[in-house]
Amino acid sequence: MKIDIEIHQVCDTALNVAMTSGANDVSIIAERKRENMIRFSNNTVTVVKTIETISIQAYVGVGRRRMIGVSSNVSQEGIRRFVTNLVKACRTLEPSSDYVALPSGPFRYGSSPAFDKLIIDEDTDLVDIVKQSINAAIDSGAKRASGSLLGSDDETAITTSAGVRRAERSTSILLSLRAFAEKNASGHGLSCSANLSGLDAAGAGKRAGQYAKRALNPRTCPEGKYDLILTPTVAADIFQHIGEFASAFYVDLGVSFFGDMIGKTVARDSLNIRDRGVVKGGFGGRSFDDEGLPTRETYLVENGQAKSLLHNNVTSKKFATDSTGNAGIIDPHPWNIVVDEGDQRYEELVKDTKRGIIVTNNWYTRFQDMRSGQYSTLPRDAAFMIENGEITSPISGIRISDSIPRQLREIDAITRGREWIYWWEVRVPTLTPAIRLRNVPVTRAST
Amino acid sequence: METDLADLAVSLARSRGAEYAEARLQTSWRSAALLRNGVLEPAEMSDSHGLGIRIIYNGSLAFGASNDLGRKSIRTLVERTLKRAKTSAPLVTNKIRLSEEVSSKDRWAAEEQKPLESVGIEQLVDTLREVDLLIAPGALGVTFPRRLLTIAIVVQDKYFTNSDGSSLTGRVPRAHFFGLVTAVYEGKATAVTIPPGYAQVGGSGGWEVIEALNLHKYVKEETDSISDVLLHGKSPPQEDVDVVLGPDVTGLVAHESCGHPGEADRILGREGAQAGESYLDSTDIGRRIGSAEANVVDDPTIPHSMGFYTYDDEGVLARPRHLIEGGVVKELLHNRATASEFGVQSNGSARSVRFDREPIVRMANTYVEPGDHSFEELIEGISLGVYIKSFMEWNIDDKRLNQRYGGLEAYLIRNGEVGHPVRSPILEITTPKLWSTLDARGKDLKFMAATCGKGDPSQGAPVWTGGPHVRLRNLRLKTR
Repeated sequence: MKIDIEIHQVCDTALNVAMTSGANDVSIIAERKRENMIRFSNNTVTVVKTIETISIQAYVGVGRRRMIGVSSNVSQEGIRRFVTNLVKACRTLEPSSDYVALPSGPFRYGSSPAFDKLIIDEDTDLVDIVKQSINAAIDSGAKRASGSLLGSDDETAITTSAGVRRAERSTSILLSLRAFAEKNASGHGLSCSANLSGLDAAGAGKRAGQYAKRALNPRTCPEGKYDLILTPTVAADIFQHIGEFASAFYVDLGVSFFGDMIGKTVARDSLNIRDRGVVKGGFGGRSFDDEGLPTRETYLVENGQAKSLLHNNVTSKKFATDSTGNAGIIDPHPWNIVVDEGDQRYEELVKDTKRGIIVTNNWYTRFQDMRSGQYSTLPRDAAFMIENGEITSPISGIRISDSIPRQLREIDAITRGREWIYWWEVRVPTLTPAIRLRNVPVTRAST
Repeated sequence: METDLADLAVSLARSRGAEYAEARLQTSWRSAALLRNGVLEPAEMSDSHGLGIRIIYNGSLAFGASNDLGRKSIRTLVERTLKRAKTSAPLVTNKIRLSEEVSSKDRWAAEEQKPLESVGIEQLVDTLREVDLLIAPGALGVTFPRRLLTIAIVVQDKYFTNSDGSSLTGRVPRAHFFGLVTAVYEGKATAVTIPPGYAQVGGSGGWEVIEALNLHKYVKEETDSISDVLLHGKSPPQEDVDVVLGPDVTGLVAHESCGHPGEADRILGREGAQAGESYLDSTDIGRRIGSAEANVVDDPTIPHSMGFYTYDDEGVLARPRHLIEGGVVKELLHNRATASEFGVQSNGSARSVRFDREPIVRMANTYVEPGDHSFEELIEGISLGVYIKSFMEWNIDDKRLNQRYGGLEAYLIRNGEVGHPVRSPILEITTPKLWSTLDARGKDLKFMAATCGKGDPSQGAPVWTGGPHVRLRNLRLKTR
């Protein structure tokens, strides 16, 4: 895809200013974002948004001193002032014992993320897409629907003083919809794609509406241990946290539950969790990281064994290994989390569960102790009790209180088929099947 | 600031038929230092500058933003935003109207004695290093070999204008501290934040904000207290107990279970698919949700507060909002659109954190009003209780009814005396029960800084949460 020349011009200008100001190590990333969003609630559009921004992230090293900054003033004069001040401020710092020079390029890169110009085409009727999703929710039993549709177009370019020069352009379209049959009976539907044709707006609306209808008249559920069937939306929350805590930055800081797991068997051998820079048929991610290295595939968990952390050039030196292409200048981070599918049908999972709960959505995950992975989260929208292999009733008002390491050990079933999850609560694009966890502590508030 | 560009955007939109238009030129400047295990991570110096506009055309609301600030680009931005308002009209069944408000022309700024622009990165680093050296060795048999400490300073300047005739220039500098450490003791390791609960300490103002925090003393006291709890904490009692919440917890409770459900846009369902709705309905003004001791205020005008502002991002003069008075819902948080729907005036609750974010209903500084008890008076009649001074984990459902606070620093109370530390007491309770069991408030008042999440795209708004020590009667605590 053709890249607007301005993006690379911005990079080149910033790099030149930094080098002539005395920096010896420079990485410049310029990003142009165009976002069209429609937000709706109670079946009516509440606001439409058009946001177009261009910004640069500049990392400069001056004699083992390091600084980073982001600026949205990308006029020639703005860049000159911003980068000059950055280098000047950098000189006032103490040299860092963690200093590592940027990796020397050029490098060969894999495929860029997908681009579909229809997503940002002026003639694409986003309002009609929203209408389709709302109608599907209503037709499936909901009274009202709320949500957002976001179409994004990202152009990103990198230039480094170590010979890296790369740019790419990608798109995504994300629909998140919540349908209500009553105030206390709701369902969530989601569709994420890099291509307009991959968006299933009606499907997301239909699923949300069906869940909302089935969630009517929920009963309370006693506290205790249950087998939980987590739909991909909920499973993605667990797996994104594994990706985040696999960052070597947090492991080095001693605050990651994942650091203690490396090399150990942490789950059944059917569990495979990977980070990938770019996923064919997916969306998000990049072919290069913030230090200019090619992104790649890294197994976090392979055949049930915790395999690797996510590294940038600095953490990899500290851990005496290679970078995994996950820079963040300061902290490495996951690009896309991919979980292998299993061999069980969702219906079989239900049938095979004696005393369990289906959780279709969750939010507000918070850690009591990030090191041990102890956390709690709140199921929201439809949840259903399973008794002796049958879904018996909707339930509400529960909380999951557990630890992620324990949950990994207790995954006893993984379904066939996967979904891409990315929404307000899941901020790392995650491709995952549904899973079942054994004996999960479920609590509720005292009234 | 190119205020003429904001004026141009408003006049262009009006000339093209918009019934309402506003423009907000917003500049932010940020500097931060991050010390990890005593080593300086790349320091940060960032800026952001751009224009956000809102247009209402035939009841359709459109927001547009750009940091391409040429006159031609502004024209394009206005045309595009207007076009999007028009094209969304077929699916706008509930037309957006704004409450009538007094227009203002004014300049305002948060108090600032030692300007943040003159604070160099090295000053941030030096301050952090002094704190780091103090806590690194640990104490009481607990060490802190892994530490992440940060100070950030941010200055935000805004120019706001709208087609109602408002023209406002505002400025808020802010500074805050945050720490994340690993405590190692008896062969075990635990991650905790300083302050606990993933919060911050700080406020609006110049460098004097950081100086007033007395970080050496504060951080050392926190790590010592955490050490004591980790080493000596015992399980909480299993029977019903009285619970005393410290100000850090009280403030969070006020924010989560009073402030958020009192946001009128949530009540109207506008955040339904994201931050959620509310257990309150549009007819719930006057509804009792707690005891006479439940008194909660949100006030953006508190000097030196994190959520300080004089005018909101719709140009409405800020004032204190009495959300809960004597246990009864007194007032909701409104912007001009929700105020219009409720038939009231806006109380100045519209905030936007950046030029490219739409102003939405937000809290500023939410707190439980102090009462008349000393701490000794609060605990003197308690035969068996738990004092939960700080927390780590917390969450609440999206209607703000079912909440949980996982204690970090906590102590047993027996026969009116504070006793040994208690490990991981968990208060999991509904909103009405929590507020109805509140029977006494301390006369102290303390605030914490926090970042409140809401909106789509998400906006993290700087706020204070606060309150006094409060006493809750006859509750069953859980533990992990």
